[in-house]
Amino acid sequence: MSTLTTIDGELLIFNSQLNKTSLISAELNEVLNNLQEASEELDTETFNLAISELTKQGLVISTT
Amino acid sequence: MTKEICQFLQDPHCTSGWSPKRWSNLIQQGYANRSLAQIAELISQYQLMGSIPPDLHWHINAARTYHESHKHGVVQEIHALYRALGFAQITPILLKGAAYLAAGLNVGKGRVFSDIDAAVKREQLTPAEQSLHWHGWSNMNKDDYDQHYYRVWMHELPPFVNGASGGVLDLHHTIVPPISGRAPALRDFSTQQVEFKGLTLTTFTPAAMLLHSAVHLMFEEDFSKGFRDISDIHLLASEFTELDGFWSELIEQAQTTGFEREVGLALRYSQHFFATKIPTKYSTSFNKHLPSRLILWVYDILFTELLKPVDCLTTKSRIASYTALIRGHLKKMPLHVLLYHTWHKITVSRTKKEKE
Amino acid sequence: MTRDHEAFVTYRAGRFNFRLFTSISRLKETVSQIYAPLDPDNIVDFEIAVQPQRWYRPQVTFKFQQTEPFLPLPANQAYPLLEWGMNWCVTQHCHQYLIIHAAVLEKNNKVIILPGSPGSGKSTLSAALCLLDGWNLLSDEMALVDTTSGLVFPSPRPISLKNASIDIVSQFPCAKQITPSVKDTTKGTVAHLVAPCHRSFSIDQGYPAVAVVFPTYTPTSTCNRLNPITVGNSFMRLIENSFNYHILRQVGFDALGQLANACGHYTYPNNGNFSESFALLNELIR
Repeated sequence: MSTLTTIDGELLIFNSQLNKTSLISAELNEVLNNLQEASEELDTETFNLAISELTKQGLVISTT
Repeated sequence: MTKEICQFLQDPHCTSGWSPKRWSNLIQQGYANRSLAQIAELISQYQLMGSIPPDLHWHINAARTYHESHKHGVVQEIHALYRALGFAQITPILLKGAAYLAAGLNVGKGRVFSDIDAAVKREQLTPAEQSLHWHGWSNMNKDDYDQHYYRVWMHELPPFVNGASGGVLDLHHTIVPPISGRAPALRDFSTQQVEFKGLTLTTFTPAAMLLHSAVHLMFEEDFSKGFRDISDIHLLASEFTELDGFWSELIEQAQTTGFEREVGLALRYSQHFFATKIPTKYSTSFNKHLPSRLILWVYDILFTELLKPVDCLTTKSRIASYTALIRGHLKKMPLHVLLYHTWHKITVSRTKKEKE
Repeated sequence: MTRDHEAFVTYRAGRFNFRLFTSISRLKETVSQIYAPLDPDNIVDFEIAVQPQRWYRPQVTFKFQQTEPFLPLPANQAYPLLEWGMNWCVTQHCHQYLIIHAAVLEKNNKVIILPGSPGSGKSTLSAALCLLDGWNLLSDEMALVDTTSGLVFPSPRPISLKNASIDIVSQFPCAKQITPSVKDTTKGTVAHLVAPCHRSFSIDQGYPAVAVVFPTYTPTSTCNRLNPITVGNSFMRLIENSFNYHILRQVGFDALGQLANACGHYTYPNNGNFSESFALLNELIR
């Protein structure tokens, strides 16, 4: 899994396992960032898990 | 002049002093015979990139990129297959391309193939098929006749397609059609376990692998990938010859299954194109099983034509292709079944055309 | 002795060398008018064949080596078939680039990318920019994005014009080199325009893209305006327009990220008023 923050503040995620790319809106990305900052336990793995969960819930803008 | 691709696969070092034009020819022949990624692997293995004209480098790199992506797909398919069949406590044996890759063989490096081939015991076919259906595979041929053709006469079920990935799976229960009267039981082939990407997988042992590859080639009726198939034999034999006892095991397996002639012929044509090294003792032993001189003369004409590397202008001799088509079918099924099969295919395609 | 079907011509089209085997002398003529010939001993990237078949209702086939990606077409469509075939060769094999279905235009060493589905008006717009406003055409059908640098590499070939746009473009004063129209292809009537080269530009150099503009031809729209969209939005649309993003995987993600994060992104519904388009697009490269 690799990520890229766009200059517009959105988050692009590439899942190499599934060969899928997802886009997370700037608003949601900010929420995620705040969450990550607020909780020290939120490591990358949990973060990735949260993102795949969000993808499943359809909260991600679009996925290839 | 011998084609660059044959020389290269025989010995990549032969390229020293090649002109740009010859490298360019090699790459075009690689495309034509679908073996550019294999060539690319050998180029990096033998560190030959420096001798290739820079303007051609991209072909090699792009072929590797494409193959990486192909390999990723295959790994996913193998994982999915093992998950699905594991559900029914069935361990499949990987065959051909997937097996070469999983076993880490030279022939598997850069080899691009379209379907995953796997085998299960005959009595496991029904639970295996059910389990595949539960896990999202479906049969590609819905036609009643095709179903009958595969299920009654053939050594494999109608192809499955993985609904999630689109990958195609051929599920075998033996290596040649039972209707040919020559199908050995799967247990006659020795197997081995290999570690691959976190899975323990089953493949044939080297001797059984080469045997299968040879039989497959000699039962073939469509030689559009003929050159790739014969280069498989060469690459397998060249790698396995280093293993202790490989050749004697091959002879033994060929005897048990009754395919000495097929192995003999496959090795003969591998030597024809690539001068494959086979210890004299063993080649004499295989030669004993070759057909009589007259038949062999015909075979030589036929197979050197069908297995030769192709290029942009090649249209394979029609007579050779038709002969191969008929011969391949006749090896697979008795004449009366073949006539019925042909009649059915012709009438079906005619009614389909009329409907359109 | 050379057999008829072994007659060939070797030429450079865009960044790539082709060797075309064909017995169709008219096709060879067209090719030699449009592309630079190469020495027959030159290295080639793609050996292709366009050959006639059947004597009744004659057809032509396209082959790259042993692969025939398209169904045969009526004999008069040999040249369009060759162009489509060459595009196919590049998009299916050139994985040193991330390839996006788009026109690429350059002015002042800056590049804009116009991705577009058929009917978006991208070819007409490109032709107008090249013929009337001094832009260089780097590519008509595909943006070749270098996977290491994210720069766009030129591969100029004729612009493929369809239907009504052929008439529009032929009326431009400097539209000198247009191939004869071929009717009734799968894309309608087609013709190819050789775009003029305004300043010499190096084909070996990559150019940074400053903008990605998604044109849509909207005859009813009253004013032409560039509507900014977010990088992420454009990124996802570029993936849809890409031929090999799924093959490049991580490399494709990184290259597209590099390209997308460095430029502006717009949708561009326009009514075909070229002078307004020129003003808007020139703004982007100032």
